[in-house]
Amino acid sequence: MIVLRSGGSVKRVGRSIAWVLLVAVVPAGMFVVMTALVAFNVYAFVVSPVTAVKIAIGVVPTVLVLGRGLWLLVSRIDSPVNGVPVHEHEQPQLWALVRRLAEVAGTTPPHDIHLVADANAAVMEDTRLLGLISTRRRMFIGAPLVTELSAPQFAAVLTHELAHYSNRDTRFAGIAYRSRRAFVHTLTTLNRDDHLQRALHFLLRRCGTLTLKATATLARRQESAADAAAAEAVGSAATAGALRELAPIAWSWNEFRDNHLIAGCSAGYLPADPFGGYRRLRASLHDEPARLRAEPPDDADPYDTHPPMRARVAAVGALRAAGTVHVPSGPALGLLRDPAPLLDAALLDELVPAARTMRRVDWPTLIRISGLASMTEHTDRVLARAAQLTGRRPSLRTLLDALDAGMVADIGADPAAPDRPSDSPRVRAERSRLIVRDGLRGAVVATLTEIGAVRWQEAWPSVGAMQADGRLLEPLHDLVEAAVSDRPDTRGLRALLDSAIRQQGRQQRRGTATGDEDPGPDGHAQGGQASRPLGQGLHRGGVRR
Amino acid sequence: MVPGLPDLPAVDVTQWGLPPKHALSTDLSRPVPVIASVVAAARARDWRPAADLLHRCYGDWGMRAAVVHALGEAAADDAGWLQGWRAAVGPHDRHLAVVDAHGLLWLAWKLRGNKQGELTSADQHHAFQQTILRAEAAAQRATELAPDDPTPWYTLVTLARGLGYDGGTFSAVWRALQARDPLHRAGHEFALMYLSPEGQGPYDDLFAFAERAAAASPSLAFLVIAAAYDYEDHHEKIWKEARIHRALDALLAHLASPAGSRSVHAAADRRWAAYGLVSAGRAAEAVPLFGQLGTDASGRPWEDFGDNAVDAFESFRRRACADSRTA
Repeated sequence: MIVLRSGGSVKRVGRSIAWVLLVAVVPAGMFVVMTALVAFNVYAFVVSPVTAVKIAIGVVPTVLVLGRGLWLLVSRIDSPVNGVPVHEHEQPQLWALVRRLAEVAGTTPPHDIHLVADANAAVMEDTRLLGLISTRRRMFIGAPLVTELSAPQFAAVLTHELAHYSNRDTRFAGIAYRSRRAFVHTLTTLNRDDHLQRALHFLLRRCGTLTLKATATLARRQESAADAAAAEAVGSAATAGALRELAPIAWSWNEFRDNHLIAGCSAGYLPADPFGGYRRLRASLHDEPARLRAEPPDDADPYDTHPPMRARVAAVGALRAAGTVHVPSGPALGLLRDPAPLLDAALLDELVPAARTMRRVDWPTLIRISGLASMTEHTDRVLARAAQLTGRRPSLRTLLDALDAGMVADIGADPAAPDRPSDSPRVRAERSRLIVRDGLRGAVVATLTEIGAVRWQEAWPSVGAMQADGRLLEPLHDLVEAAVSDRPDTRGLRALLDSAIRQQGRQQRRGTATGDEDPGPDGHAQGGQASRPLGQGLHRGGVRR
Repeated sequence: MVPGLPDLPAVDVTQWGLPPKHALSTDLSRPVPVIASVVAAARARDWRPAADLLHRCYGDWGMRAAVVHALGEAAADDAGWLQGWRAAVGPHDRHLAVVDAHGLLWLAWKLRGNKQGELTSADQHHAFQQTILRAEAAAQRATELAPDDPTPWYTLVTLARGLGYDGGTFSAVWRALQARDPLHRAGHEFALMYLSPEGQGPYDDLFAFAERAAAASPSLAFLVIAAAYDYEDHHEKIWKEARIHRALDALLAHLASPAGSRSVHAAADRRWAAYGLVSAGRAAEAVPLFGQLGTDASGRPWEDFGDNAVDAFESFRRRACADSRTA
């Protein structure tokens, strides 16, 4: 199984031979050293068995390390094929384009196309006999590229990948990968306290880094050749445009995946329309993507398998190729029939299995749920503890009454926390106070959300924002601090809650309920709140005195 | 046996006139009797002796820093006496303000605990961050109440690393401290901790800082030893370098002078000198220093070993005694 990465046939054959020679240098060297050590020891055994045993004590560990490294070279690598298969009968237009581009690139089309949730595209080839026989070709297309590139740019990316097949880059990519793996594994397992192994480490590192650099140079040439093939097929403009877009898409996709997509995961929620959110995130990001687009990254690393993006864009532009394949303009998404379920499946494929059963909600609901979840981490515990101490039902009112009764230290004490006998009285009290403060703030915000005084809104590129009357949120911090201080004063907080409830009551009577961002028919949104006993308890328990 | 420390030599330190291990104390107020008495009173909820001492020693910034540091720990353990003090003098007292700020610094670290990041829970990190911000605000308030006092600036220098100050912010704080006391010992010690690089280094700037300060005054000679202590995890051979031995000689000469031996920081200097001598292969020379330290196993560098502070102290003095036997 192989990892991807990308002219005249003589040149092509020459490159293939250079490639094979280069990747074979290190393993061949390891084999020679290992054989020499074994041969030397066998010879020593013939001459003097006692000396041979002494030598063996020094030599055997080294032989084992080298043998293990060489074993990695030939052993099977099982890496699962990820992504969602895109079948030809379901997506004829995409397949037709791939076939046409493969023809132009002078290769046969892949056997399978998979849609993945990465901001990247790749080709792989299953081979036998260390790359001599190809058994199956696979193409991987990143969903963010489909949703964000234009059809001609997308075609340029596809052609680039297909060109790796025609240049036979993928054939030997596997053996290069194995060679690198054997090298790195051997280098890290060599014991540097052993003199023999230290010497070997020195040699191997010198020789290995040289070949790594040389193979990286070859790989960069393969990439340039694939870029040129793409430009010849669909034109320099579309290819340069696609290359320019790759860095901004990768950057924004990481942002999206790390901060937005999974915002509600811990509470069991996923967005119903993830790519809609991604598009809004992209639209809201200005500086970094614009900078990346205007100045493509120019990191020159001797080990990088790709030339710097800036050089690639310039090289493609210099070709001034008009292109031979006509790809209709318009978004790449237009190439897919009913894309939403397919994109969604690709996204779910990358997430944990539990993601498949998570509830799907619109973005405002997701933002509210994730925002509240992050603020109410300690709230349930604090409410339950206040109820336990006072013998009343868990509610915000019970908590405030318990704070007035000077119970802050007991409410915040965590029975599950490790006992720290070295904690002084103030440290223990402070730990409790911080827990109660966070729990109380969460309870207040949950209550304000429930009565509609606090609303959660999309605020791309932020994960979302809490919106409310300034008179409500500004004093909140100080009022919560006062409620959990050594001389607790909950009057301000109670007054704030009362006035918020009165205000909302008036608005609702006037028929201007602020439920607009949570449309009534959205059963999920309502269900989301109903599943939190906290919110219900707060509301029914009431904060009115 | 403490991880990271060499094996304990089997010697009975009492034969050298040193107190037995069980008598050792990590109470940092103990070495200076006048500080010990006000801290004891504060722990018994009497704030008056503390307020009185801070009032009397105003202007002796070295003494004030030591008093505030010791009182800060007492405040972090129990805030009752601080509340009594505040009730009596109101919130605008400059002495109360510096102790309050430094107490919050101590509280932040006690909430966090002294374990490494991965052994510290999210709640502990959160509590540390919240409290260190309160300490910063309190220290800034104290600088307003006592404009000529370097002590709250020293608190800010100590907070700098935890607050993640950038170079510019730190420089501003450092200049404000230096303007008020150019040779502020505790300030230099914690500035060194702020300047300490992550991991392998480079440590050149750290040593440059320490050596510049040591050249300015022998009272800051300990900084070079503290820098070597910081670097030893990455470069054990640092202790063999001539500059370290020169710094040790300067520190010993300072401790032998009347100013050095009677300073409020004498015990702190002896700890660094003892640690440095044992580490640099001159352990026998450290025996008299351990004799002067007696039961006091408080302060750095021992303090950095957390719950193992006494073990670290014991290990070093045993090595000193063992070395003097063979010497």
